[in-house]
Amino acid sequence: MLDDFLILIGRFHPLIVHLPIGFIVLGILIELNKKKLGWSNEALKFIFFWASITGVFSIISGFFQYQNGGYLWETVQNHFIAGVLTIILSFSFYLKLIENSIFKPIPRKLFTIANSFILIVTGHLGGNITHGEEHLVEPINNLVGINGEKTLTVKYYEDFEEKPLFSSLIRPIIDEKCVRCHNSKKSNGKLKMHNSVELMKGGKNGSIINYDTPEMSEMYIRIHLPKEEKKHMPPKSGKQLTRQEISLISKWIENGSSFEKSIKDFKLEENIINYFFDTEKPFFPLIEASVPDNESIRKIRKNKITINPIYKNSNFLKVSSINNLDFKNDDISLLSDINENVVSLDLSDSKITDSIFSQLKYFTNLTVLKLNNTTITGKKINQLVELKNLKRIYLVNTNFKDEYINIFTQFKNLQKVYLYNEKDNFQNLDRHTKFDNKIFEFGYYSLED
Amino acid sequence: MNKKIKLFNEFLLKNASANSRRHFLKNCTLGMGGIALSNFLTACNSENNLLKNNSSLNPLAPSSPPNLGKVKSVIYLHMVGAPSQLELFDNKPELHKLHNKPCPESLLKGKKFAFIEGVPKMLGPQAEFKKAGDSGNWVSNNLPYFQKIIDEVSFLKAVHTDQFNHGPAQLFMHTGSPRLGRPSIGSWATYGLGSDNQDLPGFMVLTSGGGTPDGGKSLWGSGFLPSVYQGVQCRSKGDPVLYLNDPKGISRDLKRDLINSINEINSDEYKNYKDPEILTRISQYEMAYRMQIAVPEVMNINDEPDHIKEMYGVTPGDESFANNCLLARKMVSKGVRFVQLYDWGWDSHGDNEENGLMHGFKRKCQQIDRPIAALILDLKQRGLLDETLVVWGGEFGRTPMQENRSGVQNAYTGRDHHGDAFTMWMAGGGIKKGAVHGETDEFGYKPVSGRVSVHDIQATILHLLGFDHEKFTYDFQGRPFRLTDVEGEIIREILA
Ligand code: HEC
Repeated sequence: MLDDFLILIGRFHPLIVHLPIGFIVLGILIELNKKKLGWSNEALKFIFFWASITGVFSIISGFFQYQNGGYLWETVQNHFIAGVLTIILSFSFYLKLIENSIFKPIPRKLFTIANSFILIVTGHLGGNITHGEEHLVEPINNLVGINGEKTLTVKYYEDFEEKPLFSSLIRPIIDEKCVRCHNSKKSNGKLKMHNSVELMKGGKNGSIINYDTPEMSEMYIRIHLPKEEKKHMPPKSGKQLTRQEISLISKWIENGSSFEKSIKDFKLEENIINYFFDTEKPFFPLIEASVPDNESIRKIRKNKITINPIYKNSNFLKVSSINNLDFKNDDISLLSDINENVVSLDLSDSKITDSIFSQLKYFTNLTVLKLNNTTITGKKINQLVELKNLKRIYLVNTNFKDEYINIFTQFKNLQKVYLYNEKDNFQNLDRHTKFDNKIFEFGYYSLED
Repeated sequence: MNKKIKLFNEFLLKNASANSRRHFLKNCTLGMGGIALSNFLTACNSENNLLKNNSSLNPLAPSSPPNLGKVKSVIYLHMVGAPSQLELFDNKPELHKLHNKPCPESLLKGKKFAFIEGVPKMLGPQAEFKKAGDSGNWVSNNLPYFQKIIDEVSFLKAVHTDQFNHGPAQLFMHTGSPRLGRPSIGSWATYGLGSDNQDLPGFMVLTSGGGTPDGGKSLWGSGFLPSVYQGVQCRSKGDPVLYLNDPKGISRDLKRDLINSINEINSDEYKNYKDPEILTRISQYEMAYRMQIAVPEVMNINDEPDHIKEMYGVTPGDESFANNCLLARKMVSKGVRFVQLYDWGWDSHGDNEENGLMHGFKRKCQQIDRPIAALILDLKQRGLLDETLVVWGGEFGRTPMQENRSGVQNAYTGRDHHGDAFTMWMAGGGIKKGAVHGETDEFGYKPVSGRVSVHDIQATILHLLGFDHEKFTYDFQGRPFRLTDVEGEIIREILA
């Protein structure tokens, strides 16, 4: 009962502190303008008296907050000292104002400066506790454009197999979803999780890992409780673990909560691996392309050619003539400045012919090429053999000739070539036995057996 | 009368204030500062370039998603009325054994149904099931052609929704909220990605089956997004888009001049008020002008080769699901972002012949079976399946009990609405081939594993288009809104 009452008072600390802050700021403002205001002294006495009284209340409520909020003394220590100093200064100034002899020799200016300074320090230290030490640095960085965010790196499973599961996967999850409330400053349930030693120490109910019956581990139970349950972790208000993260942590605990065992040893299921890793090399080239310059983009767009990055922050571009069906072979020169940026090029339905290939061979990073519904016959398509990244070629409803189909076998990384033709051009070809059907798509499906 | 005058005066005042000296001082000083600041800021940011800031005045200009998406387009096949999973995909032999027996108490406790009252009888599967394809996944004899594409598909067998009436459930499925006012998923997609083909709308809607969805046009509405992103409904019979043709005596040139003048005035207006709805109006005039030629072209299936027409089973000139499937393929190959098909008539209560699982329902299955198989194969042979997502489903599923409206057995066999567990499937770019996620209990009543929500499905669709559903927001009434509200998890189990 009393405990709850004290907790309640503690919770009000962030509110109560603003009373002395208000008084002191008001006091300082009046003090600075005292020449203008004839009446200042009486008011200041009143103000700094109340600043001291409310200050004492702030300190008391802050103490309860510290006791019940799961904070460590090291964290709140400086804030506490600064707070006490603030009150002492306010009260000393009050004493000087009522002409106490001890404070007479100290100049008033000094009080003003000291009061302002200590107020800022106390406030800032308090902010650090509630919002984290970075709470000012972060927005400032963002303002001036320093990007603190980690860039997303591609993680291949193969590179990770041998690394410990804990440090590569579990630790980052705990850092993201648990450490906010379980760290050296704020240890809810007396549990700290910011490093492995603390993690193993456990919380107020002892170890959170049970090596004998892993499923009875406090950590295991809590992440599995329904979200509505009070003891569910992370609490309903916090950022939740995903299904896959829960399975992964469970797997780690079930298999003995080892910090050393490698990822391979856990024999993770495929869907879990896919969730945390890339298992395939990416579709588009893995190199950095230079930033395409604005002038060429403007020029290209003026010609009604659609051009956009493959995703927002990529320098790789997809280009399409979908809105300019009069596109001719010569128009490809518009793209000459950005050759290496184009990874996907769609010239379907346009007026291009086979001579386009002599131009296309300069698009070194070209990965997807669409030439559907054009008069392409395939003559000179061998010029594209040099394009190491070319993976998909679309030649649906073209005049592609049988004799050139074999050229595609020389393409290094070709995954698919679409040769379907509504007129069934290749009826004489032994389509399904002569060609690798994984790569060659002739279509012409029928629903009759 | 008084009110109208007041309103008019307010308009005059607004207009005047927009052009006054005071307006200049009040708004533009800040504006100038802002302009200076923004120049200063962009100068600091070497990253700034045309490709990243789509400064185009055209709200439908194609743009890029934040992440590398797997698909460019979506074809969403919605079976209006909620098809029975127990006669199509969810094979429950145990349910046979309980056929005609009273429903166990445990299934009814604390449950509320749309029509079932008292203790209904259990209803065994009204179809034969068999394993098909290399994947060996289950499908009923109601869908013989589906067997041919079953290996292209990932099933979700334990989808759940918390709505059990058609309208709200449809709204929930398409807008993420059972109440009116939210943008549909197609609107979100076009808002985020624009429209590749500038002569066609980015979001097109086709209906079949003789009825419109209970949720009404809000299912493809743009909610609080600018209305340029709403779905454009096309008819496969008669004029594809109503009121698109020029009146007699108006030439296309005259129309062009007219639109140019109107757009000029509208752009001035936009400069003054910066209201996105003005941009909407401009691009709608433009779009309508171009659509006059482009839409009849894309909506014409007569010129398709015979083998294609046969494969889908189309009858040109009709309003049929088959026609719509073929149209969907045509639209997607012309760069339409989101094609939404609604097929009406799946509400198999068994209260009349049309609704009976052994009658009307079987006819519905025949109407969709061949066209869907044809659509998948046609997309595949054109290389479109790799970059298109096909989604199939209803607004909920149906009960393993036979419906007994007002406590009396219905005249035909039928099932009531059921949202706890039903089947949907996806196929196409980024989707695993032949996978099954989720499982229901022995009656197909409750999920046993792999339960996914409506928001999970939406999150997955957005993910495949290249969006993080948690970050894809629009500010409205002072707070950012998401399609998935505060829920939703990507269903990774069915991703390739
Ligand atoms: C929003 C703050 C918050 C977050 C985030 C959070 N916790 Fe907690 N945690 C608490 C609080 C408060 C308690 C003490 C109250 C209780 O026992 O439920 C607690 C207690 C616990 C305990 C019990 C300690 C003991 O010995 O009684 C465990 C285990 C635990 N948390 C695990 C986790 C894990 C694992 C995560 C991350 C997945 C996590 N917590 C994230 C607030 C949080």
